[in-house]
Amino acid sequence: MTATTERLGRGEDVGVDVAAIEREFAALWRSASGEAGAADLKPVTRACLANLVVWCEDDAHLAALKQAFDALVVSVPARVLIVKSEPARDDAPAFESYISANCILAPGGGKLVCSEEVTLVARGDGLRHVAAVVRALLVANVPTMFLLVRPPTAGTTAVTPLLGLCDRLIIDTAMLTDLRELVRMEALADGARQVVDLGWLGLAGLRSSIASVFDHDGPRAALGTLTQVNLVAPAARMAGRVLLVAWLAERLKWRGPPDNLRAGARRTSVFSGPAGALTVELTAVPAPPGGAEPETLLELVMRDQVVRVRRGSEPVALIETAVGVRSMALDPSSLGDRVARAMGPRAFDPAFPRVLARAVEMAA
Amino acid sequence: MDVAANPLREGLAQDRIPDECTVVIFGASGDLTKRKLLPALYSLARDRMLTRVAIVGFARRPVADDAFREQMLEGVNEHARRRPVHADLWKSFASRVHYHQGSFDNVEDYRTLKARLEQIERESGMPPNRIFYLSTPPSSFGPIVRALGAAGLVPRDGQGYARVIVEKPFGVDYRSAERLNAELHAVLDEEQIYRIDHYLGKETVQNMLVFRFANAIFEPLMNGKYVDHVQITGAEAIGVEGRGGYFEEAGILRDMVQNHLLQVLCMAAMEPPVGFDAASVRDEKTKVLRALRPLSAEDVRRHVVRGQYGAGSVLARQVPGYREEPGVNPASSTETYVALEMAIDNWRWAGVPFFLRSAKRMPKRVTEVAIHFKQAPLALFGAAHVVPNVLALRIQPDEGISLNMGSKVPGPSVAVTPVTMEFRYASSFGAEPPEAYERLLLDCMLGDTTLFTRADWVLESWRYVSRIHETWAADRRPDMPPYEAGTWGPAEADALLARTGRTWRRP
Repeated sequence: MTATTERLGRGEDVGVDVAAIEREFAALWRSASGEAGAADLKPVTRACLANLVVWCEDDAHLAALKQAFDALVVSVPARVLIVKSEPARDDAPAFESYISANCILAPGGGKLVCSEEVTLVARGDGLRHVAAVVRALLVANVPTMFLLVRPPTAGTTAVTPLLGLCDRLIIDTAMLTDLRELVRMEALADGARQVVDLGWLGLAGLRSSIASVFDHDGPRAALGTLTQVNLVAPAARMAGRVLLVAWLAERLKWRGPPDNLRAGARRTSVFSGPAGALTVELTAVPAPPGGAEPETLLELVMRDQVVRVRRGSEPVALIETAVGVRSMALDPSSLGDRVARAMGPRAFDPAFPRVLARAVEMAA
Repeated sequence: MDVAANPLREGLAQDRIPDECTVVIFGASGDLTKRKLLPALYSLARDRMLTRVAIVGFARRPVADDAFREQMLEGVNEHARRRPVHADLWKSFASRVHYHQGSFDNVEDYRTLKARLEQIERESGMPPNRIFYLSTPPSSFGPIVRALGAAGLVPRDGQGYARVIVEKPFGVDYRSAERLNAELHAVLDEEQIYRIDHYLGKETVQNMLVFRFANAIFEPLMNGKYVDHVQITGAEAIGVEGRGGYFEEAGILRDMVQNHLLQVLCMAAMEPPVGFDAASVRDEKTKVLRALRPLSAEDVRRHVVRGQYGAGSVLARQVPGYREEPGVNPASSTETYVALEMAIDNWRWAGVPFFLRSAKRMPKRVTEVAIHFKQAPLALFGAAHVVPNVLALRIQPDEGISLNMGSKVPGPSVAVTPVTMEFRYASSFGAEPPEAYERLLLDCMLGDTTLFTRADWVLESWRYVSRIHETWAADRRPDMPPYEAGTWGPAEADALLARTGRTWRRP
């Protein structure tokens, strides 16, 4: 066993020459199975259902992602290729690479199942090597996902070639802090084969809670008399929450693009709905310093009734209709769970790009 | 209410939302209600799979609504897949949980039940969609269904629906099943009867069909040209667990084989259905049973082995023998082990023996189908290096699929060693699969009978199994070889395979 494989076995990040990455991994798998000819030769299962390319720009974000990927090996073992973009520095090389292994004992059988993680740190001019290195490191015959939670700060030059390598772009609108970022993200996503949004997945519970109100014929007919939609959301979450209104616009076929007005923290968009002009008001509420996050309120004003859906800090949606208030559970999930779901076949919603485009219409 | 017409439902994961309904549980004071049914209904509501459901427990004991809700909350707290129970959600869910005292054979109690259901539906604005769940002894199935009819609880006016879920066992032999079918059909159409077999609600049982018919590479191999034999195992580590009285009457052949394992056999052996609809799938499953080679008395003696467990050690615990269990006759001749060699006389499986075994007090709990393929035509690397290919479909626990194959051991000489390719359900999908009862209750609400047992399937299964019982009953001295608890069964079962040059797989 080499010093490198010993350190890998302990889960450490090990710096290696980029050309030696595959060789080091191969050595790791060989040593993990036991010495050749030994009586206790026991195969290790190296599992890989996907490549996951991750774009990252700050250390805190990278730490959160690494923790999430530790959980990923359980549900979607993948070769994870983290691309860390940093400003150029005189005291550091333009390109560095590290490898590590994530291993778990499989339930029941006691087998060691491992997946691989590569971190590529690119600084300044080193960014131009990224696409070629990633291309060389992708595992064949499995899909490639690209996790890009926010638009890159320094332009899209290094990111665009990575989009071309990937079968699915995974974004996270819940991480976007303002509507301008949403517009930039939509422009980037336009070049992807498939787009899955962690924020959109996180809104699934709220969407199905809203949908449940309209399972009955009466309320559903009232949807045709919708004249106003009000969304009140924490300012830091507005870019993600606006997708709820965009979803209504898409599903209920409001005609646009809307006329937009902006006054302080309030934005107004006027669509053409089934009952004539349909006004959408978006109100961003700043979080009090050190206080609890303000609730999100979606209000649907129809001719004879108003439906309100509230979501506070608890994972429960409160639905107020003419017949009373009821609670529906939402599904809090970790970043790792959401990334795993986003990589699955059910996560892709072909309607999402249209919803995102609707949101951008309101954000413009 | 027409959920499908809701434009906001499109694209959501919860795309199978049933209409609102009321579930009436007969035998509501029993264990199944508390351990399985209420937890399943709560978890479905928790996952937003139900818009609204009302529940009415029906049993003989007088119990107030609130007390019934308390009992059910205990069960949900302990057994629901979705835990911890959220206080607000439970409050909302429990507000539609009720209890109705009544006797199974008193029609007047059903008339008051009808009035109660109408009141619940009127007050909540719910449609008269009703599911009657018979969680009762089989002897009550007929009287309950007759009373439902007499009380006007099975309307045919097109207003709402009435569906009846019947728990197993459905009869004890061919004749009793035939009688029971006739009793139910006197009141209900076959489409209204949902004979439940919770094995069919398991994701991995359903996955057998997906595995076989969604993958082009395996199905061409699934026939007598490539398959040597098939082994189906349904083993339990537990004993009779306080159900000695019931098990004395049933035995493992009735308790496991007639229903669960024959269902698994059908899923493994059926032809591709023309569509994935209830009628097509159930037609193909029934054809498998019709193709089973009937057993003569001599066949039963030669191809069926039974046994009864004695004392032993299971999972590091000393356990008593069957005859020492509470409620069991000390001279009992009830089988706790059965192994069968079966033949399916159809084009696909002619000449391929199916070995099926089921037992209590085995070394571990496991249900699986193992397809043993024929050897390569030439032992190119020597007879010592022949590794049989086995495709194992594991149903429980550690649900998944594994494929054994031979691989060269690294080194200068040729040595072949078996290696396994595995797919494990639990570690391949992030989402937790629903409990079997959740799936089956939801399907009943949706009117989907695919995963329920049809009348003709029940009769065909009993036709096969009853011949074995008849032979055993006719034999004056039952051949009941003992086996030690914690072992894989009697030596006679090993001999059953040894005669054909095969051995049981150790799952």
